[in-house]
Amino acid sequence: MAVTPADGRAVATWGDAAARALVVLTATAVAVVAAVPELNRYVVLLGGITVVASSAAAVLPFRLPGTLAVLAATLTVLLAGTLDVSPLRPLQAVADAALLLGLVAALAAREDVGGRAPHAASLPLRTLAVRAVAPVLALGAGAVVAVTAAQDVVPSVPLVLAGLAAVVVALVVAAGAHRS
Amino acid sequence: MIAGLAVAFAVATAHGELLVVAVVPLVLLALSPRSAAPESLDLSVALGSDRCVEGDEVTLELRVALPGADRLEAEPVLPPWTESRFAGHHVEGGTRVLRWTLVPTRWGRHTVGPVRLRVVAGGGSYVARARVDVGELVVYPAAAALARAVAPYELAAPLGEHPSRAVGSGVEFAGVRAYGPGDRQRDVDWRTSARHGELFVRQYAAERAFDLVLVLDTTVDAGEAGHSSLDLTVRAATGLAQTYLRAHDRVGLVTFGGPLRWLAPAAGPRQLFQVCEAVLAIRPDEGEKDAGPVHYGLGHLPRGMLPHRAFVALLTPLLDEGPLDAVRLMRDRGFAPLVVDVLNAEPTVASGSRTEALTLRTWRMQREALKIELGAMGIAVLDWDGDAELTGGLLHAMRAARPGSRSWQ
Repeated sequence: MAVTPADGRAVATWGDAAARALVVLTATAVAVVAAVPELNRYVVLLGGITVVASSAAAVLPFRLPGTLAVLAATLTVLLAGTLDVSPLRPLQAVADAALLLGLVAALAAREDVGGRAPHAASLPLRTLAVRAVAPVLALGAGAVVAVTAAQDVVPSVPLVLAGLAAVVVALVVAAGAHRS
Repeated sequence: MIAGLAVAFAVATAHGELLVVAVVPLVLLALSPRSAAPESLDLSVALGSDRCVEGDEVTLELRVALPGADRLEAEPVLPPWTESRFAGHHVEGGTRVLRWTLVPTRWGRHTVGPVRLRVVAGGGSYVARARVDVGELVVYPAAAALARAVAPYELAAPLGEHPSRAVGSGVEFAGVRAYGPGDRQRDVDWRTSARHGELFVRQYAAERAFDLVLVLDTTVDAGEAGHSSLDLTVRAATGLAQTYLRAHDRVGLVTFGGPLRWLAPAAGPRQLFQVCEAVLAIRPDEGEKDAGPVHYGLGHLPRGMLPHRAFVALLTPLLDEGPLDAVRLMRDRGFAPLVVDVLNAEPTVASGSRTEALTLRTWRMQREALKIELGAMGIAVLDWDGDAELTGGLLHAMRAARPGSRSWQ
């Protein structure tokens, strides 16, 4: 008849279950969008690994499966883009980029919601419209790049150099954003 | 990672559309510069009250000012046996005010907090965590229900509120007697005098005070948390102290089973506060647990703790020989305590197990034997399950047991 305190931590809630399901769904969507219409065996294999890793990330309380899921999903998209050169591929690339963002966001949400006590408070301090500006702009930029990449252009040294310069500038800007 | 892989693949395979995968995260990063993230946050946290009674609602308020952040997540770490809910938030001049309602369900000194904070900025690119300490919440036990302060007829202490058998200057009618020299005219009972043809005067019961000494057996804490024997013991003690102190009686407290503690009988609201504080000290903290068992018997109790004709109530789960020894010791000192049995649980046994069933039966018989032995000593035993009203049983037991006095033995 020993007296022990009750466990005050959270048990599984609907929000937690939804966050877990969202991880698996977005990872599966990334794999499916990347694999169709031409089901290349390597792409399908990587897509399968993505789904398995995302399932593990949804269930296990560790970060490593989530990292592996993002890595596998990215490789799936890139491999599919390399092997399949169908006219739909730029559109698929934009969709996959959006889904990859969604996968990262879902993993972050799963990490936040999982283990949170029922009395925990989560307050958005900015409206949804304000928070959606950056992702919409990013996807718009991705669409511009996709459209541009789909054009038939004559390769030239200045064009390649300009492309490389754009990539370097983008990397520098991105790295600078992280510097305090 | 995504951007780096995409750029590498695009360059290595000369597939320009793969840059799409790199562009999206890079643009997101470019649009979320670190300079836009908040560098500091002002916050304060406070409890609405640092003292309450079991079942009371206490507000926990967090004030945070963090311009530039996207999301704030706050989770207070709460002590066990505390129910809580998020009561909402509002903005006061740029400061977010978050409120939680806490309902402590078990007495004791509880540490509330810290509050864990997680601030997200830059669309999830920047995350900061912080912990804020809150403080201690003292939860007093909920007093057991007593309709009124009952007392035995034989009372010694003067100037109280309990009518006694002695004749005095109270307000409760005690009888009539023949008029004698010195009697006041206002006390003449004219109706009785007219009937008998001679003068009779009314008599009133003297009003006396009552000394109650509560002896708490804290050796064992048995039963379900929140309704354990120790919980019932402290609730009964608090209820008795509160009721009798309101009636201007004197109440004392003795705890044994762990460290022997006592509080000399006294009256007044201050004594109630001291009783509550003494009761809170019953549950040992971690330091006392580590110090090992402490066995100081009631024999070390100062004689002044048990005043002349005090009424002693022993609250115990009757699970060992300790209460019996305590009763014997008090009988030696001239007191016949009332024993209140506060155990309302039994050991759980597996259904179908004959050995465990036999063990339970033996356990019940041992408790019954203790009660029989107490009965043979003339000690009244009152069973209390924590929910019943105590007054009736207490009155019956008090009228059955005589208040202690060495001269009476």
